[in-house]
Amino acid sequence: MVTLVFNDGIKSIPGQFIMVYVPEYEEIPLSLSSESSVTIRVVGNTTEKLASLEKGDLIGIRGPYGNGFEVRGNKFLFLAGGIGIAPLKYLCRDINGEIVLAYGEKSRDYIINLDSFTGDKIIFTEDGSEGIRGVVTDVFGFISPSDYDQIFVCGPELMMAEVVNVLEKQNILNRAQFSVERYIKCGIGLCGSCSMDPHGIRICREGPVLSGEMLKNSELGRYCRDASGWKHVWKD
Amino acid sequence: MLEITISGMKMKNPLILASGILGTTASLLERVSMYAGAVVTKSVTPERRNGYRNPVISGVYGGFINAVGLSNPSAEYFSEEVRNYSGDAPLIISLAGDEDSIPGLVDYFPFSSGFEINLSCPHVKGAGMELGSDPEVVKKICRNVKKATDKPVWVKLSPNVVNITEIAESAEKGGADGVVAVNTMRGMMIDVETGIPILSNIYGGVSGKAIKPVALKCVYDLYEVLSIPVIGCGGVFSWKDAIEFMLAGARAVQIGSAVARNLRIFCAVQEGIKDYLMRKNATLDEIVGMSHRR
Repeated sequence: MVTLVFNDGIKSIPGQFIMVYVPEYEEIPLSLSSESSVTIRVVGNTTEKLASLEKGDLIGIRGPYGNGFEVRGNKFLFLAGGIGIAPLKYLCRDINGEIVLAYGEKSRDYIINLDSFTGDKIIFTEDGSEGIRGVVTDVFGFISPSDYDQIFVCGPELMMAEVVNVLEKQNILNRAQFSVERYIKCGIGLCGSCSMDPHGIRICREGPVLSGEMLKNSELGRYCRDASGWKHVWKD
Repeated sequence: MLEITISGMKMKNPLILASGILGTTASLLERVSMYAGAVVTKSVTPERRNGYRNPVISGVYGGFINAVGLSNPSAEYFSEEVRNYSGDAPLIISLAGDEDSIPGLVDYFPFSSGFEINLSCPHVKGAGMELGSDPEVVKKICRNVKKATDKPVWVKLSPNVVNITEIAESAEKGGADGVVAVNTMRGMMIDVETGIPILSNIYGGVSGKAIKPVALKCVYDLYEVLSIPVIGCGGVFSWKDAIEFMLAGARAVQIGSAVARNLRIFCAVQEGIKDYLMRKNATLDEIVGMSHRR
């Protein structure tokens, strides 16, 4: 995981994203991990290039775009899977109250600096190299989400879909906000690439942070569309 | 007060969602159909296309410049996507492709209200504007599409031609039921720090306020020569823009770039048009082309 720090801050709300352009590579959407940074994991050519940039290199940025997290209450449960930790880290800036973080990673080497999270940290790794062996949703085995005023979630699609299911059963979806990822092209609500069924929600405009209620019976965890508009079904 | 019928399609207002904007899924089109008089889908082609690599859009003074590259899941796939469209406004399918393949695409959409032929996309080889610059090709495509369907067929025209009226007259002779003027104007942007063109396709099409005067002149000229309806498109951001197009001869207008501000742009423009008509004590029909009758 690599954090790129910009020379200037971007006035923004945690959860908002920016479009980052590496000349001659792709322009990609990235959630801010602080007012002046993005934290990325290498998944393709563009993120690989981003990760290899040196101090003083130039990148293009537009944004911030979309809706961020809305903070209410005093007691917060953060559920982060993998790189989904990035926007939640930024969210700590706006929290006055108790935070419990449950964070799942593949392995200890992936775990980012968690100093921003002041409260309890429960770490899961798939290989057991740090914390508890397992995945972040295992936290529901010993923590009750209904004890919290709000639940903030960002992680892989199927993890978030499972969280939706768990919270729906307990009738507390309205306490949760999810940062959702879709294929974003324009970033400004024009092209329709990031649309989600069944409400026609544009992730770049009404999202990327959506209330749990909006995700009930949605395409989350079932399918998402690619650059052409083809639907791809999620698999474990 | 704002209801109109164009090419046999009844619309609750004369504001139409322009092609290429939000027209990718049924759920999104249904959402827009609550406000718009009609919705036009993103153009579909015979084969699936991913479009160009990002960046595919950038802001320019007064609007946007884009080269999305006709991304679509193919006409066949898209017909499944929108088959169960249940929106509150006519569904118009935008068709693109080459001269031979376009007419066959209508068969995938028996449930649509009408078609718009994209003969004006400025940045895809062998499609769009390359076809739409040749009057004979335009006539032939219109004739073949009309043979393939009984539904209304509009042609979306490019401003990047020497004589737009000649192209439009060919469309009319070919049997088109209306023309949409205009698609985007060719343009480009360069990043001064790196010297690299910003769009991955190097050039693209300019939309928004920047092209409104150009689009308005096209509509004005087309109204003089055509007997089929003209639909204005290019930089409608307010009721004033819409009225200007109507005075120039547009029966309806399409809205695209302004959607970036807010989907409710359709409501705001409607309210403004109503106020104007009441103030002038006129009907929509009366103001269409009024600038020609001075």
